Amino acid sequence: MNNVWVTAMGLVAPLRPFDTVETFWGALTSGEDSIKLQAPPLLNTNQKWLTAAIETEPVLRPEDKFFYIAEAALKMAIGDSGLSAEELLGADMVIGSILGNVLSRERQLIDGNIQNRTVEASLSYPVRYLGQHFEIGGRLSAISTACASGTDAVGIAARSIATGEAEVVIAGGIDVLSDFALAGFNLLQALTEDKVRPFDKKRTGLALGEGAAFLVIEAERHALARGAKCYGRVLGYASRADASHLTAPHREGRGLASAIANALSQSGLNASDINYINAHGTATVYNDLMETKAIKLAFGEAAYTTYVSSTKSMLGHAFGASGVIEALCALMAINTGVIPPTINYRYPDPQCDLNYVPNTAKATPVGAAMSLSAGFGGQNAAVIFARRPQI
Amino acid sequence: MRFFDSIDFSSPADIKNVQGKLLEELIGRTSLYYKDVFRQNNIAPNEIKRVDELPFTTRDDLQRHNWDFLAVQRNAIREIVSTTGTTGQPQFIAMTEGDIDRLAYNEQRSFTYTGAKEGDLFHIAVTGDNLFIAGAAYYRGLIRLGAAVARVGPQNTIRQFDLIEKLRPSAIVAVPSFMLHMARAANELKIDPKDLNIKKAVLIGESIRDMSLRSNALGELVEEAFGDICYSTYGITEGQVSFCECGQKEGLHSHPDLVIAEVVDEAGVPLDDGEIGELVLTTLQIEGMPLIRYKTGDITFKITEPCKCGRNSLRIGPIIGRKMQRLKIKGVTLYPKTIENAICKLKDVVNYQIEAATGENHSDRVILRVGSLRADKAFRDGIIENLRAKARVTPELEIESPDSINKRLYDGGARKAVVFKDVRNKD
Repeated sequence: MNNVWVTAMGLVAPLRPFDTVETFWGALTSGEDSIKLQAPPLLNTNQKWLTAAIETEPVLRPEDKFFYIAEAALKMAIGDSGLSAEELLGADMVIGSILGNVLSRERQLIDGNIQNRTVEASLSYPVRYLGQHFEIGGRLSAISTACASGTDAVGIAARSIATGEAEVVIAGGIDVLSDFALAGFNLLQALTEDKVRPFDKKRTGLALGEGAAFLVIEAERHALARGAKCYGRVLGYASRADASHLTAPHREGRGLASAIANALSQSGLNASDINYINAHGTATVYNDLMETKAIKLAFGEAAYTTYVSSTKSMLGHAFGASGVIEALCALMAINTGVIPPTINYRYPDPQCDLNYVPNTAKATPVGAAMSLSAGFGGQNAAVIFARRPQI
Repeated sequence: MRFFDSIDFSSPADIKNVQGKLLEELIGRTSLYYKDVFRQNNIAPNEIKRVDELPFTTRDDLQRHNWDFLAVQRNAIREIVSTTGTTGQPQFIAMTEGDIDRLAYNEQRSFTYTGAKEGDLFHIAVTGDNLFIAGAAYYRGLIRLGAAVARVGPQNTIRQFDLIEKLRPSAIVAVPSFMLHMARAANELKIDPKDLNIKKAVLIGESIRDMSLRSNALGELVEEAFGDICYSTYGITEGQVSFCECGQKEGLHSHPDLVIAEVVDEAGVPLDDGEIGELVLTTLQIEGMPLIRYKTGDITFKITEPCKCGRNSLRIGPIIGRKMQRLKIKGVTLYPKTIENAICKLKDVVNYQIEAATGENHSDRVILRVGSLRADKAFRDGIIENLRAKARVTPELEIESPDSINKRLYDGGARKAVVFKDVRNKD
């Protein structure tokens, strides 16, 4: 892949204010923690959970918040792109989401009133709805590959540009907090009651988050012809499965290492050319160890000279949206020369021995960056971005 | 007043035990203000087991009820000091004879951390009058230690050099930016500051360390000139207490028998080691105006793990800014000190003032006014590049003559240079 550009970005994430990518990035690189003890979205219980929630005024129910943040983020990306109505009508869109709006009836289910069906609820409904709302008339696809959904959406979009199938593809990720997800992750004992401490010896698990993010991915020729901005090029993407367990990652990081190695091979870069890895970094004991092993396996010695950070330490785990949010972070690191930190990092784990950019952002030139996702069921994805060469 | 000279080396459990007893004494014998607070909050003093069960005291509380904080009869007062009023009206602190002894003990202990000892001669280049607590505290602490003192105060640099040459002090107590001023003056006088043979510099009022506890730009400049002789300290008038680095220079040690220090978040929840929040102090063994969970407004982090020096006392990191001075520029949170540190090492930057005004879209508008004899594009670009790299923001930049900036710094007859001018709408 060498003719694929990212020409626009938009997102809504838990860090206030939600107005621009620039302010989001400012807050993120300041190490702002959006994770707080909060009540679940719907259930009226005394139990509170550590979550990274997008606070709206007035408070919205999850199904309304889903489309509210999706529309706001997509509007931001389209505004940033400068694409004409005609170009939008010809564009494809691919959206990664774990739950889509299938839980739209969660309130009715909780109330035991399942007959009152007022909305269409499915994994593919959001992309169809947004396509209709913004008059995006190309191929509309929904991707649901667990926590790798967002990264896969970006990779699949980039691949369809690289193969010449499309000239403009909007890649997005959307998911919101739900009682179902909180209960599920709680049953899996994946949630922390402490801080989210990725790669730290005392890490105890993740906090769930939510968000919506979109990238406009475009053929270089098309972008140059219309004078578009270039936030970076997509140079490589690979998706690989662990093929080992229903929920737990492969202990040695087999699938993720393979995804990294394949993405690297496709990019034509050496591991040492990658300055920054935005890690999956959930802060579960198994993920962070597996991910460290996978990076070392694929990068060799270069693993120790590459900065690795987890923005989930500040944003929580936004399910299917996290892959696109983190791809955006990798692109912003390239564009600003600032690497966001892994916050709450206090006690080094001898088995997790890479440079995790502890607690404060690092200002350093970033020529190429990689974003990783590792989902339940061993679905792994890696995507590589690089700075546009000087012309 | 009881002196626990080696408490720092006690086990954390023993330290906690001593602090628990001293806290009990504090709660049982406090001021009218706290008696009211306890009554209003239905707090039974004898039921309090931990400091975090108590309510906070704010600077505003102290300002509005200043004399209600007095826990002794007025005729027991021996000295009155005041805060500088940098971020609000000055607050008066009344001290008893016991408090003055406590202050001396506090500073003696701090100086001990730096390796100061009987026979040293300290040149004190900070003021000892004008209601400032610091100069008097250093003076009394050093006398208690058995060291000799030259109370020079903030004299001009010629006088400072003259006295240093004649008295040959082994150590100096000064504000870091004054040390820098001395270094620049030495350069003009063709004196190598290292030849002054000062072995130790105890630096007050400004931090010379960054978040990773290494020297910040100001610290580097002072150390480049004078050598690796600097010890950073933090002191607070209201708490009548100081924190000081030991030879390891890995944070500022507290005195566990004089203060309980916490770091809390915006919601007042105590934070863990390394987490950045507001420093909160509960003073121990103060007779005149004891304070309970006083929110200092100073932003830092704490370190509870034992220090390599063998002490188990809680340490704090550098003060990275004052809560009231926190700036938000396009999402980036920072403090004026971050901007200062980004530019203070730049050649040709003579002086500067940072002004914050209310901006749009939840963002502050920040104007950096730099005093320099240069105003060319390369100079301007250099400043902007440094701000981007080190502070991650680019405030509006105005370059003026050093004289013009000097007028701004002392506008309205300010007794202290106003480096950060805050005109934000506080509503």
